[in-house]
Amino acid sequence: MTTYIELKGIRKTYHPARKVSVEALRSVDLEIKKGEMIAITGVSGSGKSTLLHILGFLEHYSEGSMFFETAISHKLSATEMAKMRNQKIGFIMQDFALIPYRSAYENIELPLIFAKVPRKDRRNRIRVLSEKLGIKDLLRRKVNQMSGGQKQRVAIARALINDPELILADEPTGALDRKTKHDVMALIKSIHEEGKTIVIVTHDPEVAELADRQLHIDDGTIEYGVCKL
Amino acid sequence: MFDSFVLRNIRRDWLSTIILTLFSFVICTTAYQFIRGVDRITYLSRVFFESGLNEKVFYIYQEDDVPGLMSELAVVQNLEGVKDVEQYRIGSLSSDKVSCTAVIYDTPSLKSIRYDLAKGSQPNPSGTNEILLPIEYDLIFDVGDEITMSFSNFDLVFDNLTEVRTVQIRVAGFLKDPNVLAFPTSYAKFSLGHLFTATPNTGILYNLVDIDGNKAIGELSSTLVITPEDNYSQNEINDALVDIVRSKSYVHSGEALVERYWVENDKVLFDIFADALAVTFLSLSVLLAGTYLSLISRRKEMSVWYLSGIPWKNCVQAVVFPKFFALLFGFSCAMIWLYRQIGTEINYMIDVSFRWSYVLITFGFVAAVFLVGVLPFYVSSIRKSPVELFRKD
Repeated sequence: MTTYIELKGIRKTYHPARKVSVEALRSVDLEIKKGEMIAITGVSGSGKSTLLHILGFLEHYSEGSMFFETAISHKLSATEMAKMRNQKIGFIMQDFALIPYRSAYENIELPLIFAKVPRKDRRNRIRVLSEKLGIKDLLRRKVNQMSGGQKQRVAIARALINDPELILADEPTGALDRKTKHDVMALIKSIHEEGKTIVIVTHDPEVAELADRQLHIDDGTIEYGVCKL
Repeated sequence: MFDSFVLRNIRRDWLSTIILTLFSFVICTTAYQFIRGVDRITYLSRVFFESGLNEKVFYIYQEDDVPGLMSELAVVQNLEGVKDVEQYRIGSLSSDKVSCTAVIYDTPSLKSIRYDLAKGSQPNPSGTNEILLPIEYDLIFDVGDEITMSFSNFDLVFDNLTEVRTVQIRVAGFLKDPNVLAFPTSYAKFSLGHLFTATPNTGILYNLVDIDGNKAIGELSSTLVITPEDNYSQNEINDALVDIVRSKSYVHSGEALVERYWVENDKVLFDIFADALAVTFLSLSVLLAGTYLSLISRRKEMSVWYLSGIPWKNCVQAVVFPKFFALLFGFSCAMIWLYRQIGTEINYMIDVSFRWSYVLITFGFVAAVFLVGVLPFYVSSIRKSPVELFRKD
């Protein structure tokens, strides 16, 4: 497998106003191969979400260098980061990150709107994907009228709609009951089997077991990794 | 595409957009009326000061007695400290189409008065037969029209002046405001507002000559505009005149006229500014609260947009920009509505006039209120990192 993402010496320091600086990541080195599925575990405040945010171009790192398909030689602008999020990455969040008073269709459509996909193509792509994920009947329903499992399926559809190479999932099953969790895990597994690169942040060993590789992060440093044989 | 996203948001939030448009409409019409009110109240003093009339003394002879006026004029002219005495003249102009009263300004001080014009330009002080007509005449004449009319004075004074003369006048422009220095009636509390009176069908004419080139002389007005010598003050001349005419009601210094005018209008101006302040304060409160609430209540939605691939700044703009759209739409509706109200009464203010300068100032005022009401939370929202919204711990 070829190297898809590489982080070298990544540091992230927060400088809250009138408070002591916090170092969330301390010299993180990480290589992710194309098509790989990685689980990142760690206690609350260990820096796993920060790492996910940096991988997902949600925020800048303070120091270090990053390779994402190609070497990133400069600090990306807000627009360039937005384009990366839109074109290259899909996000699945614990709280679903959906607009509750909009329909599933409108939520799934957002990345396509920002990618300037024509209306007709948007409709076709949403139809095809919703059939595949079994949420066709939910498209017109408002998100706040759905169950947790339905919401997460809609969130997964939104993450996949622009056909990104990388899926970042932050505790994707954290807000779900046991049965729904297994459904969502199966869905994530099938996405991985289609060749997508997936990074999951989780506390749940059962979810972490799905991954090809597990990384444990503690106090902003990657401590060890476990590879599936 | 981002613009269409903003438009999409406007469409989705049609109710708040409509409410804000109505709010903007009310603010714009109110601001327009305030600006108009201030302009109308300050207009006469501006004309007065710009023409230097504030340095003159005014004697208004009240009797309908022309020989008496002539003898008073002679007395005033010979008074120590009086440099010059000016009067306008009055006559009647008529043609088969129209007639009007002509107030003829022949003297330097009177010709230096610059009334606001709705159209055209100020008459040439050294030219002849150029007239400024009330705006109503705009329906009949255009600027530059040459009109042949009959001129007659109203007069019973000099037999040789009662004859009717044919004159050819040229329309130099149209007056914005009907108040001109003509036909004042004097009394003790006489002020600037009484010196300039709104007289229907009255035009201001410069240096009238008939078609043979002879000066056409109208009836002398009973208003004497007195210029003191350089080493005499207005008050000295004023006091000397009061001694002669034995009444303070007929003699007024320019300074006193202005002073009394502001005393008369103090309360009106205070009310205008108090109302304007209240409206500004209310608008700011509504806008600040509205912007804050919309940015808070839609923070989750903005974070989803951010995640889906637009910069955070654009997310905030998509929430805030519809407010400016509502401002523009409300402003346009307000101005169109005011334009259509020309000639009608609103809030007991006679004759709504539409002036581009008012429109511009209104827009500036309302835009400033919107900026102050929206910018603080816009800026603070842009500075806040949306990433915090995705943190669980």
